[in-house]
Amino acid sequence: MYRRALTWLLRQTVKLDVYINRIYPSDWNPLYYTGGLAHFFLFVLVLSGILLFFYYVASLDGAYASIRYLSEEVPYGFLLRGLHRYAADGFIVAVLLHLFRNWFTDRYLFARDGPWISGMFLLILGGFIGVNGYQLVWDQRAQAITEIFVAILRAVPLAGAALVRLFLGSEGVSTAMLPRILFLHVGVASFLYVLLWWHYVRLRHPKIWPPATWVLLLLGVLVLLSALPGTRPTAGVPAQPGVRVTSYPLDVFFLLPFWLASYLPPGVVAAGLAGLLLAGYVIPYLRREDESRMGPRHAGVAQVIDGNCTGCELCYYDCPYDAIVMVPSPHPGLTKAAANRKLLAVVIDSRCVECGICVGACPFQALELPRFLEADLMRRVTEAVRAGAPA
Amino acid sequence: MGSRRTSLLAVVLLAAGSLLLAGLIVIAELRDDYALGGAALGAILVAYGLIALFLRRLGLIGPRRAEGK
Repeated sequence: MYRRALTWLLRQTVKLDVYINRIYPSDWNPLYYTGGLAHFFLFVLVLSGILLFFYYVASLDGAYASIRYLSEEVPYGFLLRGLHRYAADGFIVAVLLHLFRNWFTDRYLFARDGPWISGMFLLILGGFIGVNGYQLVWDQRAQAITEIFVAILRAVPLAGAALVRLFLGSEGVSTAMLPRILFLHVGVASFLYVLLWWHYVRLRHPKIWPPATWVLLLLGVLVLLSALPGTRPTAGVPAQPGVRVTSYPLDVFFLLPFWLASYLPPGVVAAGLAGLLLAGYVIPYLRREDESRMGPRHAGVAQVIDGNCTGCELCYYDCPYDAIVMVPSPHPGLTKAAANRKLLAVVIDSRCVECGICVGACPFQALELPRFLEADLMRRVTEAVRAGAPA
Repeated sequence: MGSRRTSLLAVVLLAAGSLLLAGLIVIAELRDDYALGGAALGAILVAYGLIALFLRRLGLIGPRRAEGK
């Protein structure tokens, strides 16, 4: 059932790609740059965040006033705040698109589990930082989500009370709270870059930046959303500790668990979130037992055909995953082209993602995916073309 | 050919619109109307993004391997 659903989703993803490629030139298809788009939004977040930092006052009395001053008194201050606010939404949307796309196209299995796991951490921390950002405004929404967040923390078995003290600085809302939240917001955001390093470390040519047209378009949309009267972020009503907040504007990208917590017990929401995260972490390992039945989805680690390798290094330069190294050749190759080789390609099994790029890069038929042989592929394509049916 | 002409027309119209928007930014600055200036800035960035996209469709910028038809 799970495999069938994934196969259906894979087909729909490819269909969507083909459809979008008809509208945009294929190398500017935004779906090929979902990671780059997330990185672009993160860049906007960091840059606007640094500038916001100069205006923000991290105290119960000063936080709301400083945000209001920035939004209403500082020329284009509302743009700065809006850019930060909407880039955060954009970041989550891009990360979710990236996650689902890689899930549906099987780019999370075997040697790709590292980027998947680091990506899950990036998503969790991104969500956490976003919630912190809403708390920093210290309006009634911030007050309401802080109360719910504290209730969720309290519901954590054994460590609940200690976590609340750590978060608030005391048993209740105190002057120590906002500096702590600011530290969490900025400190954890810095840690995102460590996770990004882990996310990218294995990739030789990661697409970390979208094409110019998308940078301009998305920046324009962010600025428009920040400037137009209906969508410009407003300061809301200042927080009044002790007064119960009954309603507040909801942000679906960050505050959905808080909305759920108004209908369900905090412990249930916390357990649901934990379950969802756990499911995210085990996804790459769910189908590991199933390798033999995966067919073309599991093509096998690339194999070097020793006799054909000329040591030309084309596969070494083309492999985006650093999975091929060149070693001094212990003996000459068998073909005429390989007879005088100095180097030999060796595949590092644990790094190979079975993408087949090296097979395409090699003009000497010196690389094969064992369960997806080039000759078989050519035969299937020829048959499919002859039959006039999709492969 | 028709598609090329449409793209070319779009570039010309967007460039003209961008010029108007640039004028609007100047007017907004003179009047201290930051909301109008911000909106015009956003719109001009969107227009530039679309111009880049149409130039790419025309094969005038970016790698040209996707065209040729």
